[in-house]
Amino acid sequence: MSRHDIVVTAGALVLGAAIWEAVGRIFHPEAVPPFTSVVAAFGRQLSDGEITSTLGHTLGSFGIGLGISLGGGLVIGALMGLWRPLRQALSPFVSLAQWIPAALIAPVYFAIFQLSMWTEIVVVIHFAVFVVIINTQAAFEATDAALLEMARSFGADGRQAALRIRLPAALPMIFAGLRVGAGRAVKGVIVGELYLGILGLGGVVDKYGQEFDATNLLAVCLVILIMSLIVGALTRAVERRFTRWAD
Amino acid sequence: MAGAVRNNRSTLAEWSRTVLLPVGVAVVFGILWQIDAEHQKSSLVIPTVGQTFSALGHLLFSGGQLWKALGTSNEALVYAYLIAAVGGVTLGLAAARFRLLGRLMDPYLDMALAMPEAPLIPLALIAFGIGIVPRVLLIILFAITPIIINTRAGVRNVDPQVIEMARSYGASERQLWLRVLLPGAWPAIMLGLRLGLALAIDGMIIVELLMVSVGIGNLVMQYRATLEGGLLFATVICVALEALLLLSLMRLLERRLTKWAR
Repeated sequence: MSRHDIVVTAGALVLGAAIWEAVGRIFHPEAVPPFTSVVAAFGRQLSDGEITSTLGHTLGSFGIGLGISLGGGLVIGALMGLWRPLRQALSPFVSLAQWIPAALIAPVYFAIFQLSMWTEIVVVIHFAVFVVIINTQAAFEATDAALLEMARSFGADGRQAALRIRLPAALPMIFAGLRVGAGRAVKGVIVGELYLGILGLGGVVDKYGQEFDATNLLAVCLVILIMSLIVGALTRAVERRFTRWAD
Repeated sequence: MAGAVRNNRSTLAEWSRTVLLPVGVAVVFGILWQIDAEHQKSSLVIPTVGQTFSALGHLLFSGGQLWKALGTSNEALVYAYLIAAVGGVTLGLAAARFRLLGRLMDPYLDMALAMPEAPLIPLALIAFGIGIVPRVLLIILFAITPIIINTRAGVRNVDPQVIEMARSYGASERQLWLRVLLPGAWPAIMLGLRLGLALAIDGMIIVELLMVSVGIGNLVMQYRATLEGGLLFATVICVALEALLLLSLMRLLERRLTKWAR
């Protein structure tokens, strides 16, 4: 990012905040409190521990759900990419599941897991796992045939070919799947918590929503925004770190 | 000849495998589901396969509850998607045409991509009450970002040499847009519109399920509260089918219109 870019981005953010502040101060709409009071509420939520206690719960469900999605998605996707019958058996369901709105399944999971952290975790998994599976499978399936042929003619067996040739060649696409999956997992954990309505950041949103407290509501949204941006930046950094050689 | 016959046979075997294997998986899943549901009769919430299908028949063919709920839900979806499509393409084109505007929008598009939309639902309710307006607004919020981003990316990815050539042959701004930029960006715009539709459907369901109990969301909540598992599962299946139908139609339209633009 050049210095000019940074100036323009900062300008855009300041302009946005200024318009927000002006609208809040001049028209006093119920849903748009001034930017400064939202920031003040944000500060209070951070300092009195309301956020830190709930953020831990949210990050816990998010982390467990994302971990299971990544682990399971990678294994299932790799097996589907390497072994044709499994691909034929499962791929219609995977692509179907990817296009069906994930939130729709929340009531079904609630029926199964009741009011527990597991409902949240399973919703996170449902949001994140399919894109990981699909990308991993496509990546393994698409390995350059010439590369494989060469490896075989140099005497590589099936396992060596999978680990030394297919896996490295598949990494860029797999990491793209992980990045998208992590983004979807953030949305999943918030939807899951809002659905349950008492746990984590989603529970706090629900509380302030019922109190019609727009200032505190927007402050929690700010927390969620920052959390999502950090998750996005981290996954992009991991992706760059592990796929740099591929450029 | 013999080779052709063998080839035929192997494609037949291949074809039957791509059909039979998924069917087998579905049957095994159905059996496990049935066993599990019968096993925990006490919980009442997980219906058997039979209960689900009879509930499905009931929902589709008798008692117009489902159709009425679908109507309510889809009314908001249609308004919101039309506004998101027109507004998103317009904003995307504007961001591609006016560089500074695009750069000013960048940080906000990044935020919109990362931010879960769901926590904004109560805010829309504070602002607009519980009519159709907040639902439409929220669905627009869910759908518009990929439409803007894809439209802009599509216009930007048009080969600069082609633009240069059109200019040097004296194309006016208007001709440049209508003859070069829009046709070049068309596939990306259609992809954005399809992604937007998928997110709009997501949004419709999330909004109704979490906050505004109307339409399909209300039906689901009601069946959950009264422990009618069969009806609950059947409603979920119906909405899933609607989503698949809409998205397949969109894909068909995308293919048609993309071919036509070429």
